[in-house]
Amino acid sequence: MSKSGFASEKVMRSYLDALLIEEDEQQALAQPDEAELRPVARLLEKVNVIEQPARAAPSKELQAKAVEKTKARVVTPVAAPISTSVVAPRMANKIAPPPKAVVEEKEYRKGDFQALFFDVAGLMVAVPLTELGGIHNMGKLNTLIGKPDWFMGVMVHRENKLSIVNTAKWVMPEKYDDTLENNLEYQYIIMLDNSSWGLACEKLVNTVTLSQDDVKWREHSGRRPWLAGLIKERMCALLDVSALIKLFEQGQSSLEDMLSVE
Amino acid sequence: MNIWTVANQKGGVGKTTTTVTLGGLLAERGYNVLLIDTDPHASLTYYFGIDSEELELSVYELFVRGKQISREEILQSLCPSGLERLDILPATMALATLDRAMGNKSGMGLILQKAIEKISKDYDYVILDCPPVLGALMVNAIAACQRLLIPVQTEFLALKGLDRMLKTMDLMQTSQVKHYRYTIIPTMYDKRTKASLQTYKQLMELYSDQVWAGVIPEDTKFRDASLAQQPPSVFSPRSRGVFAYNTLLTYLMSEVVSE
Ligand SMILES: Nc1ncnc2c1ncn2[C@@H]1O[C@H](COP(=O)(O)OP(=O)(O)OP(=O)(O)O)[C@@H](O)[C@H]1O
Ligand SMILES: [Mg+2]
Repeated sequence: MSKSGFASEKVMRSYLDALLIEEDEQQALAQPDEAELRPVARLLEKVNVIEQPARAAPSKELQAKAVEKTKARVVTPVAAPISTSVVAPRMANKIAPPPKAVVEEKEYRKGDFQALFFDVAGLMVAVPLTELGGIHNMGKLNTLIGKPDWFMGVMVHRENKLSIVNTAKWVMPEKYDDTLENNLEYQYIIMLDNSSWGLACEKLVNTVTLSQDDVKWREHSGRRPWLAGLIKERMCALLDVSALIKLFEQGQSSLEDMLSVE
Repeated sequence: MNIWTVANQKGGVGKTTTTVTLGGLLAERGYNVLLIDTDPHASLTYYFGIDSEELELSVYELFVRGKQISREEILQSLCPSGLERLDILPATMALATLDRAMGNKSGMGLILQKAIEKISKDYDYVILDCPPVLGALMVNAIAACQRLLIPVQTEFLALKGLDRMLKTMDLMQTSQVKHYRYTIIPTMYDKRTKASLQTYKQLMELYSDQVWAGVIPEDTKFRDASLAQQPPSVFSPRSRGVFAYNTLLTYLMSEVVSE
């Protein structure tokens, strides 16, 4: 019925399976014969399912960098305390106190995590699902003057204005020429966390569960603070979403150093 | 209890209007009805004049508490609609953060379903309104329902959105090993425009069995009703639009009986 590509269907399948199949159920499905019936559930555990290797891996010098632990820095809103009294039988809604802010380590540094892989001009990039704000179809863009050249424009989604970044141009300005531009076919927008920034991408490749050891983690102080690390198996960049948002907000290119990510 | 979810990944097609109107009509027919807002924009909640940011409890807490939430706690989160037999489980903006929180936890798509099971004796009908975004909230709302209502605006390009919606539903059916009943509802039908006529015709040709043969007409009374913060069935009971929804409801309910 739909012409949507196989790869993006796979992404959707693993996303939906993760949401709709419970842990114990998923383990049961991993039994050999059961797995035969539900091959999709297994996708989540495999790391090597991507059939299409990245054509251009991000800069090699990064591999030499030492692996260090990321500092705690993510501020996540926490639910207001819920009153447990059952005095009033119904509709006990009262004014809530404002939510507390708590400093927390990045969710994806705590253990296994899932990452969405997507493809831009042959470059495969991954973003932790916990930092993914959503995926939109590329729609009509309104260009703005006076913006950096990697700023593709603004897309209106409901009453919100989403700022769309030309990912290829931002990540590899040195390779971005007319030929590359003419061959680009942006189809989706990867929204970054709760921000209004979105990365244009050509293909959604897959969602994969990664362990901490699958990633060569990076210290942020150096160049390219937007790289959280490299996924060893396929030398693919894992994005540091909060650093990326900061850079975009400062109007910086990928090559410029950032004085402080904090 | 009957559980219906109103969903379409496309925005502005009449999901919230359908939820409110059907809810109002069901309550008028004497059923106990709960409307659940799963949209972080909380338009259904605002429709009833509820300022969700001022509430202590909402559908958000239900997600945060997960399986541990009790029937009493769910009932405490409800707000009155101002109409007899019609209650609202409000949404808040905080819901927007759930996608990230739930993205990597298995089974998180079934939270709403489990919560609704706990209040299955309290209501005859539960109708869920979805955000126009494919994400954990919509997945939860669809996973919880027995029947999916898909409003489709009768205009060009509507079919593309519908195709995506059905694709999502298809994939969910495989994950859940469940079969969804769904009904496509042509909305904002304007018989003077070519777009309306053609889209309706195409809907019938492509999805005949799944399309409700009637149409919800374009009717400015819907907008007026939402400004007045009243269900259309209260605000303009004799309008063409409400009449059409009433016909739709009779159709949907006759199907319930024959199931
Ligand atoms: N049949 C109709 N005729 C005229 N106007 C309508 C009709 N149905 C809905 N509307 C109006 O169209 C607008 C969008 O409708 P509604 O909010 O129900 O859509 P929605 O699908 O819930 O939108 P969203 O995707 O943003 O949640 C509202 O202003 C509503 O009053
Ligand atoms: Mg709505």
